[in-house]
Amino acid sequence: MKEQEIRETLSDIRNMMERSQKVMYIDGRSGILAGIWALLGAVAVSLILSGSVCPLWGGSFNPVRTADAGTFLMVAVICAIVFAAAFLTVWIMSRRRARREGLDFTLDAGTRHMLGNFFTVMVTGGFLCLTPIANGHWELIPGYMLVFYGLAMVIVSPVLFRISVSKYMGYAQMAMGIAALCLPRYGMMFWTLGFCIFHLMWGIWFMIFFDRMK
Amino acid sequence: MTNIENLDKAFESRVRLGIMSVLNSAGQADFNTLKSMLGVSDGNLASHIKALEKLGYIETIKQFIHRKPNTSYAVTESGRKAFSAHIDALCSILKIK
Repeated sequence: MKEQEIRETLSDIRNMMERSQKVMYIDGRSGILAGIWALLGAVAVSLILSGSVCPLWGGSFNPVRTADAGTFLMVAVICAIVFAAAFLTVWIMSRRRARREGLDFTLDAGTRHMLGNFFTVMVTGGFLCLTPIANGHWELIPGYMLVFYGLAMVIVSPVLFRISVSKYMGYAQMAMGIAALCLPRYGMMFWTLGFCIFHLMWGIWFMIFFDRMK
Repeated sequence: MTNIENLDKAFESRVRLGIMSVLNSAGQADFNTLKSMLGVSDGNLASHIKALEKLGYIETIKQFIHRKPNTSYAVTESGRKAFSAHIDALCSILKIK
C-alpha cells in the first residue's frame, strides 16, 4: 500500500466513524470541565464538613457534623449541582460539536436505551447514598458514589466512542470506590481522585486521540 | 516494512472497513443504516457482513421493534481488537505516534 492510499483510508475511517457517532460525539474538553466541577464540589463539601479547603486529607466526612439536617441539605445540594453541571456540560458540548460538524444530534433508540441504563444505575446509587439517614454511616457515601458511577460507566461503555477506555475508566472508578469503602477516613480523597483526576485524564486522552486520527 | 504484516487481510475491502468503522463508533446498527452509510447494494453488503460474521468480528442481533422483525449488527470484542490493531498498523506505517 502506498502512503497516499493509507492516508486516504485513515481519513475515510475517521469520516465514517464521525458520521455514525450522533449523541456520543463527546468533546474531550467536556471531560476536563466535568473534572473541574468535581474538584470545586469537593472543595466546597470539604469546607462545610471540616473547615479545610483541601479535600485530600482524611476526616472530611465527620459523621456527627453530617448528621445535622442543615449541613446534610447543603452537601446534598452541592452534589446535585455538581452532577447537573457535569451532565449538562457533556450534553451541551456534544451538541455543539455535532452541530459544528454538521452531524445529526438525535436521540435514537440505542442512545435512549443507553441513557435509561445509565440512570437506572445512578438512581439506585443515589438512593443508597440516602441510607445514612437511617444508619448514620455518612463516611461511606463517597465510596457508594464511586462504585455506582463506575458501574454506570461500564454498562454504557459499549455504545460510547472508544469503548474500551470508558470501560477501564469505569473499572478504575469502582476500584476507587472499593478503596473508599475500605478506608472511609480517606473517602473524600478517593472521591477527588476518581471524579476529578480520572475525568481530567480521560478528557485529555480523548483530545490526544482525536488529534492523532486527524 | 514489517508493519505491513500487521495489517488485517479481512479489512482490505473498503466495504468491510466501512462496516467496522460504523459499528465501532455506533456500537450497533441495522442493515438499512449500514446500507445508507456505505452506499452499497443489498447483496454486496450482505456478503461482506457474512464474511465478517464468519471471522467472528461482528454478531447479528435479531429483535422485534413494534412487532416488526429487525436485524442489527454489533462488533464483537475480537472484532474491536482486530480493528484497532489494523488502525495502529496503518498509523505505524505512516510513523504517526
